[in-house]
Amino acid sequence: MMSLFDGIVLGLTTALSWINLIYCFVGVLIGTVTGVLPGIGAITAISMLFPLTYHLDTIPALIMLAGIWYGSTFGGAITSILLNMPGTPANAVTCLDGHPMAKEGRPGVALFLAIFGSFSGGCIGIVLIMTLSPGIAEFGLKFSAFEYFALITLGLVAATVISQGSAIKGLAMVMMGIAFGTVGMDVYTGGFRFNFGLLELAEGISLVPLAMGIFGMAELMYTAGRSDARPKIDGKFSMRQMLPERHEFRKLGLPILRGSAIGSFLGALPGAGPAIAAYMAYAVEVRVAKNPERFGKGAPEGIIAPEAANNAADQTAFIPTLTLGIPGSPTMALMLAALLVAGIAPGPSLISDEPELFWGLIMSFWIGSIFLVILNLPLISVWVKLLSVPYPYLAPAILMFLCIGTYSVSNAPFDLWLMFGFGLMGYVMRVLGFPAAPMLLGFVLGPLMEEHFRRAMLIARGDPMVFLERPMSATILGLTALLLVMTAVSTLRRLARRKAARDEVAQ
Amino acid sequence: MKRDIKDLAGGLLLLAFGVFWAGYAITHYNLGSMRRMGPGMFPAGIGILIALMGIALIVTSALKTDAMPDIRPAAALRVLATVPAFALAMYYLGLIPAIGTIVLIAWGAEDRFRPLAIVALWAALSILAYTIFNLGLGLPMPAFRWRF
Repeated sequence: MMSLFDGIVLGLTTALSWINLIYCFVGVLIGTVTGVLPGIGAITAISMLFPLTYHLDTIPALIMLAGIWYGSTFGGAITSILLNMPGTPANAVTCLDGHPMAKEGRPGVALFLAIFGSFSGGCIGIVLIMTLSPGIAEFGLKFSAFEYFALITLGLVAATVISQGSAIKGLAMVMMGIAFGTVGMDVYTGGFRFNFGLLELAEGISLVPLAMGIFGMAELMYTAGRSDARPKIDGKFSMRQMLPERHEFRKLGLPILRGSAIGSFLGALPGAGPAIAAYMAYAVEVRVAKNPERFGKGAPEGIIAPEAANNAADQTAFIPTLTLGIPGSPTMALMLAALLVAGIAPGPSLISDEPELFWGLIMSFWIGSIFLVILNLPLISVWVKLLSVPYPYLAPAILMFLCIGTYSVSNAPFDLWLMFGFGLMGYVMRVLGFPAAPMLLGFVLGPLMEEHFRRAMLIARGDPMVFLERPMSATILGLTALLLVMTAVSTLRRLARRKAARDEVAQ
Repeated sequence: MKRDIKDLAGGLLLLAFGVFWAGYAITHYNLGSMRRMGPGMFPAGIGILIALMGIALIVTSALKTDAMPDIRPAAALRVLATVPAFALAMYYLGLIPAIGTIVLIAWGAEDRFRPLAIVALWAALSILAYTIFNLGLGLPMPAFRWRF
């Protein structure tokens, strides 16, 4: 086993190579752009650039995709503060105090606080990945097919029921994803499944048209025809105007630490993620404040704590993905898929088998965070200008990247037809209130789930009770069942309450 | 009787998909046994679960009402239409005309017809795409071709 120091040295030599520096910069740049523009999230941008993983080396490709992910949360705060419109869902809470502070004539200070909080939270998250991952991976080496099946099930269920909206719809979408994941060659028998005689489907549905269809296309279709004029903003900030006053500075340490701790913890859990982390961090700040009535009117802690939390969560989300091969969110599922495209088996042996990739990627997060501070502080006016680009120009540009990206995967129109189909499906789903994210998670994890399940059944001679006889898998499955029961109870209670309310109105 | 139309429609779609998926798996692929599962077992199970979710949604849709969202299907279909248009133009005419079809079709969903802005956007996007994909990544996508 490599020491932490060796890892850091190897990681830095990898991440500081020219090519990796360039891709890291490109990643955080695109991340900032997608973060700033409301409506395009990290997942759309990552699925748009995912085809590049087929043409690039694995390490620069992953460094870039990761940069988009944490860069978008970083940049999204700008839109929250200036427009009172979240740049990404993770920045929604930042509107609460960021926008009032901007309206009070201190937009520069609000932006500075967001950037400072984001950077600090990100740094704490990276330190945690570096110190915790090797241990978790070693623990994960003891897992067998039973534990893996249980963990994947827990991850899928948690990711679905914790997020807002109907749990039935979320679970249904996970299963739809798993169903689409079964298309193509069956690994055990070599027979084709659900390819309907099409040779193009023999290898399965490819991830790119599916992700671009249900995210990019569906989103563009849903927003089409609504390009109402966005509010105008005054876009001139000098560095001087951005610095908070000294007495404010001193009070920022604890909110940053609290936010980062909440974010780091929730980021590593399946399903929670940066948006919930930011919300929790804000709630905690209001709870511990001496005079909570300051919140909602431009309290500095209300900006810095959620921004520290969502950026810390962005980083720690990599822990389960890189150490166990089990992503907790759809974005991490795309990272996992990028590894699979490169022929790298994700799992507990990733760190020891591919130390250059693991440490290089982690160390690139430091470099990317520094790039982000440089990109955001002196260049803030550029991003503010970007917010005034009219939507009629933006929509064709995004569509072009979606089409060329999909076409480029196999240089054939077939994937475009798939994207067409999934775009239509994604739009209908969106109109009917079905979430798209669980479907992508199910699609990536479904094949792994089936493989572990079938292997487990082979080992157990077809006796499913073995899942409950092994303490680890029994505990994990028990947790999953508990989550499901809790969700079912709360759903039924909500329905009963609504029905009661309606009956009252009817009388 | 009042119902949540969105959930009812969604539930019916799920039920149809689940029944189809499970039925296709059972009739076309070997199910095997629990001990040695065939290729059909897992998809059949998933299909049945999807159908059950559909039924759950249909049942609960009777307990609540929800407004249909404000949708603009005409503009949405216009955006969707850029994909087959791009596919055909790419195959017969090459990259730059294909970008032109996207700009032309998608613009109409948002703003009134402004020829100068459309041409400028087409030119800018063509240069961008050609630089990134052909020069930068070396993808074999000819800028122009004639395949009739």
